[in-house]
Amino acid sequence: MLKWQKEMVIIGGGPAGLAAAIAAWDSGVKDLLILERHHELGGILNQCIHNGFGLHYFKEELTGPEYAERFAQEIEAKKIPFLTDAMVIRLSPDKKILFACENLGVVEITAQAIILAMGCRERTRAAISIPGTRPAGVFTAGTVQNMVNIEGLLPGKEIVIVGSGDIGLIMARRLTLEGAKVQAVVEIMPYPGGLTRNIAQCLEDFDIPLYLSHSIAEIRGKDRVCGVLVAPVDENMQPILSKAFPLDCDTLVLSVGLIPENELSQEAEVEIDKITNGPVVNEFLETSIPGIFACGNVLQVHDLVDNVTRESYKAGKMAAKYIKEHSLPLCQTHTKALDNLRYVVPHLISKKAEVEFFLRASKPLKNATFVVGNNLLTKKMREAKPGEMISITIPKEKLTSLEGPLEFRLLEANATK
Amino acid sequence: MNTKTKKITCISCPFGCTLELVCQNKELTKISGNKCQRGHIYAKNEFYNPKRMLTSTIKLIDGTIFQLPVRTKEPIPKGKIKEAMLALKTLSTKAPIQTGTVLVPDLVETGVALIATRSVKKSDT
Repeated sequence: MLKWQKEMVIIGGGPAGLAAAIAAWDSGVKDLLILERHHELGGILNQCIHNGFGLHYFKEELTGPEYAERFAQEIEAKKIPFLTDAMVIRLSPDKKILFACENLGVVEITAQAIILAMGCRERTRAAISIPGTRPAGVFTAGTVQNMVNIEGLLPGKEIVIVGSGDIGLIMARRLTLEGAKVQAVVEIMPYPGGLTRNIAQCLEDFDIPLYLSHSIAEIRGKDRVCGVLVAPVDENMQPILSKAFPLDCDTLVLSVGLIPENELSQEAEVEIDKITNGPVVNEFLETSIPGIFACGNVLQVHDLVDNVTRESYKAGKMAAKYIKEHSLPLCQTHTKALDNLRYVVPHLISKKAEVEFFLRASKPLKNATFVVGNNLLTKKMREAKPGEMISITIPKEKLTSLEGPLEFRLLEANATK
Repeated sequence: MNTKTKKITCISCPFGCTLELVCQNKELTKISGNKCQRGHIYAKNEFYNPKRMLTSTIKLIDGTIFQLPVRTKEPIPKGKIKEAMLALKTLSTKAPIQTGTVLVPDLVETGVALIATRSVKKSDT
């Protein structure tokens, strides 16, 4: 077996891995390697052919492949080393990586720093336990996106979409444009999961009905899906079968959430946050194991790739700093997401520098007040939605005097609910 | 006078502002709710001539992939989308190709070009 030594290894060549690699390279780390399991760089962006990427980062509206290509070209121009068709199969706490690829066989790399940038995968039918038969024709939205945009295949003609995540909404439009009939989008929550603008441009533009507070009570069909039973849900999210109605379809598309892909992290005994399903990190995006960093969707599921890029640049820079200085400042102050907030990343801070925090609301709120600490900082929010990540930068001066954990709250307006 | 208000969601960026449009006698008289100038422009366009960027794929010959992702260089009128999709069905091009290559200078008489959105190398086989 080949044994290599590297200063830095980046696991994953999607938007997170590429940005992290560029930042580390620019910070002086030249002995690095990106490992990508697919046969090309760019990750899932290559199949996201729709527009809407790069508005914050490049100040122009790009499609997924265009966004990915800008980074892949920079990697090639700077001659940053990468391997494709290279699958990491093991990661250990002492920062040893085992990967397999066709040309080299199995290779072990001992790295000083590792950046986890493996992204996320989709939840499947099994994850949400939809009752009924088990026919063909049940796909995740990302699989359908791959079929339509990469393979040039149409998975079916009459479609029902479960879940109103962004990929599901985007595919509702895409399938409609390609001649399929999208019967409905069915969402169990009382509010949509995806961005509001995707409700407008993907559903409303094409008169596709959106059933909020509804779920699929049954999948029907023997060999192929022939329909579903849609039922409204009660306050306990249980289907009210007496009010159920059938919808004919030959294809059921699931857009029911994403799970950060942390099997490798767990194997390396990196501490995982049970809410984000990603590693617990400090303000340097360093995990519970010094020298192992995480960024992008493996850390927290983002709704904008622009934020992935920003987060990953930081991870790359910090990992380079770790290599140079052999350790990073201690971070012992915990952060906490309270009232109406589901989570906050990073989990630990040093109180010695400015930090950007990412948070998610646990339910939609209007005219809410965002409060940091004991009124360290307050911010009015006209609208907070679980589908739209909140980001806030807190300056150093506000943090130095802090005692105890740093708490974040999203308070409802007093008068109206 | 016939005054109507209408709420729409701005699609210019991921904020997705709710815009309130006031119109009198088929003329747009007031726009509110936008956080930036792009929302103002979007509201105006949406009222008088709604446009959307169209993204899709066309057949690619001799490339390392078989479907070339494409988009309209600018948004095109909503009413032209169906016709544009039908036109795309008949199109094909050959690898190698560069991002930004103009595939059709004027797509279905919109005055807007259709461009490639990724570079594809020629296949070895």
